[in-house]
Formats: sequence, C-alpha cells, structure tokens
Amino acid sequence: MRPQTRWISLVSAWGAVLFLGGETPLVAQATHVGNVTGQATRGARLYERYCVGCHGPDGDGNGENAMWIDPKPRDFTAAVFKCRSTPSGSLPTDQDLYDAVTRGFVTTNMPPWVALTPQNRVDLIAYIKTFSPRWTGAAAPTAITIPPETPANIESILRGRQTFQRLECWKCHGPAGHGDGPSASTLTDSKDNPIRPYNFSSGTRFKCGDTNQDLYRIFMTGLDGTPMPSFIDNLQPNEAWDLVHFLRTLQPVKSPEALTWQNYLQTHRGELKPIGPEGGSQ
Amino acid sequence: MNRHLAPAIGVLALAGLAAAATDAPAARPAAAGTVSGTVTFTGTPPKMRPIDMSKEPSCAKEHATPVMTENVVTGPGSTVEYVVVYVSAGAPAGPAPTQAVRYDQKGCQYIPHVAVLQAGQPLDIYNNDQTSHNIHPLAKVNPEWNKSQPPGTPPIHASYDKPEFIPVKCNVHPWMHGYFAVLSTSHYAITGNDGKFSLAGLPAGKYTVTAWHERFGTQSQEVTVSEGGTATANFVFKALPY
Amino acid sequence: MGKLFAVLLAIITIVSATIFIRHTWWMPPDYSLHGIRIDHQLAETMTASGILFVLAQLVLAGFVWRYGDRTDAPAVKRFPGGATPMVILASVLVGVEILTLTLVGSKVWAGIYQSPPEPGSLHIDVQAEQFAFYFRYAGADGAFGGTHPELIDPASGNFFGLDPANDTTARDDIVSGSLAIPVNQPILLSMHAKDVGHAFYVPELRIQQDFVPGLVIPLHFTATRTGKFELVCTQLCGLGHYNMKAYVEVMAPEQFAQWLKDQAAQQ
Repeated sequence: MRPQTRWISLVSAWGAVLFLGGETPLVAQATHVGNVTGQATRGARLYERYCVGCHGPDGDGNGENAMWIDPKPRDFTAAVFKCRSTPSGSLPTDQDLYDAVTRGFVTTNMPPWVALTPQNRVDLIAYIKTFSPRWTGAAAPTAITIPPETPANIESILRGRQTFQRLECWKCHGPAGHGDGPSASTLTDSKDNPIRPYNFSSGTRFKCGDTNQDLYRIFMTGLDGTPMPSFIDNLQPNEAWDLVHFLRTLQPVKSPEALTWQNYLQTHRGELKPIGPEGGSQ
Repeated sequence: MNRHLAPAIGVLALAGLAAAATDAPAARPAAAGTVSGTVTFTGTPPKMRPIDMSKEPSCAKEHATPVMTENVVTGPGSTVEYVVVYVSAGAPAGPAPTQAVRYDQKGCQYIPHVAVLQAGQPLDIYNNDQTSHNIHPLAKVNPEWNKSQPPGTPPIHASYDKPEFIPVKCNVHPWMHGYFAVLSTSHYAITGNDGKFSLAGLPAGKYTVTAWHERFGTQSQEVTVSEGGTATANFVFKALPY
Repeated sequence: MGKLFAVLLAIITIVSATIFIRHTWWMPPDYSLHGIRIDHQLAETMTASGILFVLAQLVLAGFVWRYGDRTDAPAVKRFPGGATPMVILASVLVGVEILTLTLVGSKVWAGIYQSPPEPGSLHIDVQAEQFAFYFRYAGADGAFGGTHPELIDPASGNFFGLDPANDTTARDDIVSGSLAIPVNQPILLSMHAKDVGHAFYVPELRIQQDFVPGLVIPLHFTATRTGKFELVCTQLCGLGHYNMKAYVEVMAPEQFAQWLKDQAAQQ
C-alpha cells in the first residue's frame, strides 16, 4: 500500500473503532471497478474520516453539517441514486458509484474525490453499499445499452427540437431551457425539499457527467429521487440522440451542434414554431 | 312632636340619603380572590451540568464555583423552579404596563433565567459584563432579531406585541440560554425554588390556569375562584432523566 | 540621497536580522515530543533565507552606495547577457533555495502528519462550532456514543447531540469546554466542525490544524510538560471568532484520572 493509504487507514482505524456507535453490519460486498476490488471494512475507516460529516454515521444524509447545505447529502439507506447507467428504479452499478465519487457533483457540496486513490474510492463504495439492505443478495444491475451516436446534423437537431416540445420538457426546463418552465417553481425531490430543473443556459456541467453519452443516459435512465423521469419508454435510441443534439444547442458552449444550429438560425429562424404552450404537438 | 325634632329628623334623613347615595354598589369593590399552589415533579429529573466558561475568563472569574445549566432547576420537596403560571382564559387581557422589565447579562448568564412580561410591555436588556454579548431571541410568532451589545453600551429596549415563549441565546457564548415569556394577561407568577405561586386580584369566576416549563411542557387546570377566596391549583410534571 | 538610502538599507537589514538571531520575539518553549522537528525546520529556514537576505540586502546597499546617484546603469549592462539572464539567474537561485527547503520540510511534515498515532493513544473528539470548542471523552466504557445533530441542545449542555436516553454508550461520555490531557501520554484528536471552517493553534504544543466541515481530521501529539496553555481559533469563522478559544490543561496522570472522575460525576 502506498504510505498515504496506509496512514489514512491506520489513523482512521482509531476513529472507526471508537466512533462506530451505531454498529453497521459490514457484509462483505463484492464490489469491483475495473480490476480493483473494494473492501467494506477499509471503506468504513475512510468513511469516518471523509464522509461522515455530511452523510452521517448512519449513512442517512443526516451528518452534523447537513443542515447547512443544499442540496442535502445523499441518503444511502434509501438506495436511490441520481446518476446511474441502469434503468429507473434499479440500483446503480459499481462503476456508476465510483464515477459519482470521483466526479463529485458540480454546484453542490460533494467534491470530486480524486485526491483519494482508486483503491480508497472502491473501498468507500463497498462500504456505502452496506447502508441499505437492497444490496444484500441483489444481482449486479445491468446498464442500459447505449447505441452509437447518430450524426449531429441539422435534421437531427430539428427532430430533437420537436421531441423537446412533444415530450413537454419545456414544462420544467422552460422553452429555452432556462430552468424556468411553468412547473419549475413547484418541484420537490423525493424528500420534499425544493429542487430546480437544470438550466441549460447556465453553462455548468451536468451533475452526472458532461459528454453526449452522459446526457443520453441522464434522460434515458432518469434521475431517481428527483422529478426528472426516465424517457426510455417514450424514445427510440435515434430519437434520443436527436434530443441530445438539440439540448446541446441550448447551452452556451461552442459544441458542433451549437455551431450547426447558429448557422441554421441565420437563414431559417422565421420557420421555427415556438416551443412552449403555443407550440402544439409540432 | 317637638318643633325642633321634625327638622332634625329631616336633616338626619337627608344625611342618611346622602350616606346611602355614597354607599352605591360601585364604590364598594368586591373582594378579589387568589389562586395559589405549588409545582412539583415525579420521577427523576435530568442532572444539571456545570457550565465551563473558561473561554471567557472575564466571566469565569465571577463565579467561585461554576454555575449550573438552568433548564430544569428543582428545589427541596421535588419542587420546580422557573415555572410560569398564568391565567390563560377567563380574565380579560389587561393593558400593558409601562414599567419596563429588566433582563441582565451578568457573568455570562441571563438573569433572570426566565423573564415574564406582557405583550407591549417594554423590556430593557443590560450588558453588565466586560465582554460583548450578542443577544438573539429566537421568536417565531413575533419578529426575530439579533443584536450585538458591546460592554459599557446603553441597554437595548425591546418589546413584543404577541404572546409567545421566546428562547433567548447569545451567539458568542453558546451556553447562555434564557426565555422571554410574553403573556397577554397581567395575572401571572413565576415559581421560585419553593415551587410556589400565587395569582391575586382575580374577581370571582371560572378561570383556566396554565403552567409552562421549558422542558416539562405545559399543563392547564380549570379553577373556580370565589369572592375573596383562595383556590388551590397544584401542578405535577413528569420528569425523565434524559 | 543614494548614500543615505544605502546606509538606511544596511541598518534596517542588520537590525532586523539581529532581532531574529537573538530570538527577541520568539515562540514559547516547546512542550511536545514532535515540536523539536518543527523548531529545527524553522531554524534551518530562517538561517538559509536569513543569510541570503542579509547578503542580498548588503550587496544591494553596496550598489546603491556606489551607483545610486548616477543616471546611467553600467552595472546592469556589465552583467553577462544583460538584465534578462540576471533576473533568470536570480529566480533560479531563489527557486532552488525554496525547493530545497520544501523538500527537507516535507519530510518533517510527513513525519508528523502522515505517521500513524501510537497504539494506546487517548482518543478525544473535538468539535468546533461558532464560537466555542468542545471536547468529548469516551468515558469508562471506552466507547463514544453516537451523535445525532437533531438532538443538539446547547441549553442543556448537549453540544454533541448525544442520546443518553436510548444509547447506553453515550451515558458516560464526558463533554468539557477544556482540553484536559495527561502529560507524556500520546493523544489522538478527531477534529470536526459543526458549521463553518475553524482551526486551532497551541503554540506551546506546536500543533495547528484546520477544521473543515464535512471531514473528521486526526491530529496526534504528546505533551511533555504540565501546564495550562491557550488554544485559540485561527480561522476566521464569524463575528465571534475573536472570542473563540479554550484552554489545554496538561496534568499529571493521577490528576487527570481524578479530573475524569470529577467530570463523570457531573454528567
């Protein structure tokens, strides 16, 4: 073990041994990310050092600092996770959890934990899975299939725009994706805390990643625990890629889609039907 | 009849009428009754803890032995101190007195621990210590405010319009805790270490008497007061060690 | 004017160097086991940078004396290559000095912060909040009770949110506003902040550490002398930061055992 890991483990061992007031049964979970295997007992010591302040000793998101932060820390006992590659209602894969810990959640208090070694992070994930009985004996969840991306041409973007109108994304996200749709101010998460829909014009990355694949996955698996549903039953894969391409035009970044769209608007802006209540079913 | 007697009788009769006139019912007040009693507890109350004021040496040195927390103060005979007993129904709300209630910060403690006042009555808050205090009454019904009060500055004048039991804390000294008990009635008392209270000046009638304690909660009783009589109302709270 | 400035420069250099050499305003004596390494590192840093400082300033004073009143700048022109190589050389020299001190210092730092605590350390839970430090000992059962933020109630002295009604391990936990420790005993602190960032510094024990909300940070040390030392908050945490401190009381072991007993009786 690298000296850093060893001292973290040893030092945290004291913390874990004496702090674990609520005894969590440390069931040895089979946790693998790549060729790294995680061990919950090691993860427990790391958790006591790095996670307990927000996520709480019982993993229920009720840490001593939780009352001061918004959005609230994840409640691991509920086993409901936002950023997954698996269908809505399913557990995330180990890779999903690892990516979440590594990437952090931009615009929230969850930092990217790249300072911890990959082994540390996989150990933590193994420990996090002990907070909910849903993982005991559960089969490894399967990710959705993401077919190769279709070309991001103007036809795709236009179709995506129609999908945005038809599936009523604008009701929450607003006609221009500013997060100001008619329903936006009423939204609450599954713990009844107010929550805002993503504002595409803000320029911030998505919490669950920033590639086109990540964006595809976001609306095809839904963000469990939030009002954002899964649209996998409403969209064919190529329609989903069209939507991805359109959504990119709403962001203030110089993506290929945005440039294509800007070019199109120069000459065809007048042909577009508005998005929103007056847009009909397009 | 004697010639002098008739006028004498007339004068006497007039005097009697005059006397009778001044003896009209409004001039003779009905004797006011009293409700009194004792507040006690059953069970084991939580232990009060000594307060460590070492972070504020100017206050720590004012106490030869550390002061204790005051959220459950009991006396001999299982009595409870700092219980606010008041008439919550049956008596009309009186006008707010203009005499201010004084609340002191001394030795990094709030004195008294519970200040009872009426809605609209002025409240003067003094800082008698050599350190700044930051008085923060956590009102929910009344407006909440938070003011800094350096040493040697004039008292803060406050008042509250609505009845409420308001916890008070100091942001700089986390152990400081007290209460403002803002009531609408002028018939109230707060128990001392002997747990006794007495509500005087109550015309005959039926009243609801309520006892409030910051940890034990609230209890109410119906009491009937006879003219000039003393009714007894005792309160017993259940105490738990934690 | 140039000559006057050169003299002033020399005087200021010598006076300030003297203040450091004579330890006129210096740290309090070190009463910890690890502190000597920090003091050595500081002395090495001071010496290395001090010598270079004095040399550089005196050389500067010399140049100012000789050339200060001239309007042409022959000295700079005579440096091989001109000003640019001179600046680069200066930067490289200073950079090498700093890098060397860093490398040496990092070993000292690692030896203190990245070494494991000793077995048998006395474990103390330290909570920083606006605006006080509170210290928790495990009590007779050797186990810390669970903490529940919703139960935190400063009015009754429950700063940690213990639940003694339902949690038997919490009943004997000792909560104190002072950090009492036995002398010559390894101590392990687990430091966490309830609200915002704080830090604490005890000069006599050569320990300083930030409290970061969301993390539980371990810090270990051994005190080698009894006494009462001030522990002050060294991270701006709000309007009461100026007033935020506690005292470390290092006691003989028997005294500490008695202190624990007295505290336990009051909980």
